[in-house]
Amino acid sequence: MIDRLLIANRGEIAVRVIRAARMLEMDTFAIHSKQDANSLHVRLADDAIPLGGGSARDNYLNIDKIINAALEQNVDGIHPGYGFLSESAEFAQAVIDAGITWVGPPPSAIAKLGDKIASREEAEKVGVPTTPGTENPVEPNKEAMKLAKDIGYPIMVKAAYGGGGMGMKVVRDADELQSAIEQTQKQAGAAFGRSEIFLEKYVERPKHIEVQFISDSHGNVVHLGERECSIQRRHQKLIEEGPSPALTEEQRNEIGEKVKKLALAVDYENAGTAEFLYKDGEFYFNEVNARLQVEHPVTEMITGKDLVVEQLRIASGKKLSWTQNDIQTNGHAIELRINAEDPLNDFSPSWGTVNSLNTPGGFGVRFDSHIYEGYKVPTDYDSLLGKLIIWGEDREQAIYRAYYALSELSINGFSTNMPFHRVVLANKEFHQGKTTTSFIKDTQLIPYIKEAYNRRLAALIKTGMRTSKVFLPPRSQSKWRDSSRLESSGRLV
Amino acid sequence: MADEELLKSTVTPIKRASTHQKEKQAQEADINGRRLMAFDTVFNGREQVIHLDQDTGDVIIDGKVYNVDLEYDPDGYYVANVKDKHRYKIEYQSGDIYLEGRLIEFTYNPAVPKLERKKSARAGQNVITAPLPGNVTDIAVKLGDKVTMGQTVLTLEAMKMQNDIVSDTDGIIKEVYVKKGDLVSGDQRLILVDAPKEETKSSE
Repeated sequence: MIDRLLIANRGEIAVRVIRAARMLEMDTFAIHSKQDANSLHVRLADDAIPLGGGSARDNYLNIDKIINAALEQNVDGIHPGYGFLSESAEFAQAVIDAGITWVGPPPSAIAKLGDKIASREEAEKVGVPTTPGTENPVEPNKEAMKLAKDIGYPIMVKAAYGGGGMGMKVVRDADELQSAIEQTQKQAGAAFGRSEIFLEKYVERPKHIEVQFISDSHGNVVHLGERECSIQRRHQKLIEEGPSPALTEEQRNEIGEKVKKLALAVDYENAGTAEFLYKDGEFYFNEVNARLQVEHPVTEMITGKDLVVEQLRIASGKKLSWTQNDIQTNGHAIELRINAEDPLNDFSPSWGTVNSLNTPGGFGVRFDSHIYEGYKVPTDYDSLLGKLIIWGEDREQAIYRAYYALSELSINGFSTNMPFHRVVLANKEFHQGKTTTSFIKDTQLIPYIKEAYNRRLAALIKTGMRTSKVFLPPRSQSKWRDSSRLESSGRLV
Repeated sequence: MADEELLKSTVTPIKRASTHQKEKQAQEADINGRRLMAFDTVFNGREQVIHLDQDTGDVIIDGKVYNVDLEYDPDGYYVANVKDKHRYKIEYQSGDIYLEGRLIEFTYNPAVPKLERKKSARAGQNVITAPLPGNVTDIAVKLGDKVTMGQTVLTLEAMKMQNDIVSDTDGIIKEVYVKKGDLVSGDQRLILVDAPKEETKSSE
């Protein structure tokens, strides 16, 4: 069993891993940037190694610094969390080369699954349903028109080496196809240096459904059911739940078995998640995240299994603790990502000090967070403050409990996205499970959030009372307009 | 919960909230002839200007009217009845305000009425400052450039996002105080825009 574990991450996930490591009586080592010197994960760990200030390139993304710190402290295991270097095959290899146990899949599996084309090929080989698309790059010609016709409109014209939502264009009409290919080729060439274009079926208003799986180094693998993460904004998940109200037990088992085949085919080890778009009974493979995910607590709440403890066990060479029969889902869980963002200001980030914090509790209420009263939220990292995860016997109970738990959660000092969650939890379409990745746009929530805010503001001003504790109002946000977004606690800009 | 049916038939706070979402949007307020006093408020981390009708006591926010009836309970808290339908319990304890049982932060100050100034250019020099600390990743303008209101002048990387800083006035770039790659602190001067002198327009 790993004895001394270094957590190569920060924030709430570093706290999560430390808590799991303690269960296995491991000594825990935190790394941190200068900006994170007062972070909770630093205080909780048995020891902390400062990596200096600057951007993440100089600390959380610096492979050499992290390996050196690990060697100096004689650690025998590294857990990368999510984001940062968790899906870096280079980092995984460096850890292994340094004689340290890597808590994650082998570098070869990471590399294979990180390549969208390769992972799609592997998926097709084992019968995982993929999105219909072209095998080879296309040119703006008659052949492309034929291929597009076979796939069926609407078509997504996609840069093969693109990313971050760039180099993609939706085409609904055959007349627009050729010029769309030309345009995207130009864009891709300019932005990514490679202008190869593929065509893919564009799935409209899908649900986002992902399957959690975990395997050991002895060839055993189980799936732990699915999560639905349809409520997103600019490809950032905000609310996740499990099980998905859309799937039958049969569908769940079927897709779960296929995902297991995929894991075995790439010699996967440890935890991973296969992401799909889902519409009208059809799954469309998107990618595999070869790491632990932010929303893993949803699965933990409905299966009763501690995924991070199991990750550490597996990395230490132990056999998987469960067979597929041991995995039973019970009830329903919902996770709300609490971010330092103002939903009424286009979700622009807010910042400041946590002046006061009151966390909810009670049956079926879990709050995974690194914030504390007096904590200065650093501006260098993503805006995730914590995750509120709720369990209920069924979906309705989970929603009600989440609504009330959220009303108890109080974080003061800057704007949070809690008003957004409150409105979604009370929303009829959400109650009916009518969730798709276009939910926020389709349901026009923002004007209602403003209305609810205005009413409360009107009530407050009439009482004439003011919070008399001295607090500094936040800087005016009026000059903001954000143009892009990254994965939570993840890569550099 | 003993009776599942009971859970479903009671009008719980979440059910009420759910019904409210389907309400029709409020009517625009007719502000002609009203004597309005403006307040700058800060509620849960965001700033909002509101107006109070000095004669009727109505609260006007974003051009909509909210009438509020306050009841004071002898147990020491207010119940605010907004628009005859929404009730909020507000308590005050040693400098803290609790709204619906949850500690919140709220403050306000009288403000110079801004209704009239909303659309007019501010004549003279306008300093654009950093809304929060970050890295200057791009400067889209140079000295002498003409800019329009809403045009991006600079990009600031903060909270792992690229944020466009826009000019809030038409004008000409008079000064650029920073360069690409600079680390700036909150409220630090970034750019000076010289706005042309113009008649201030009254409210739209």
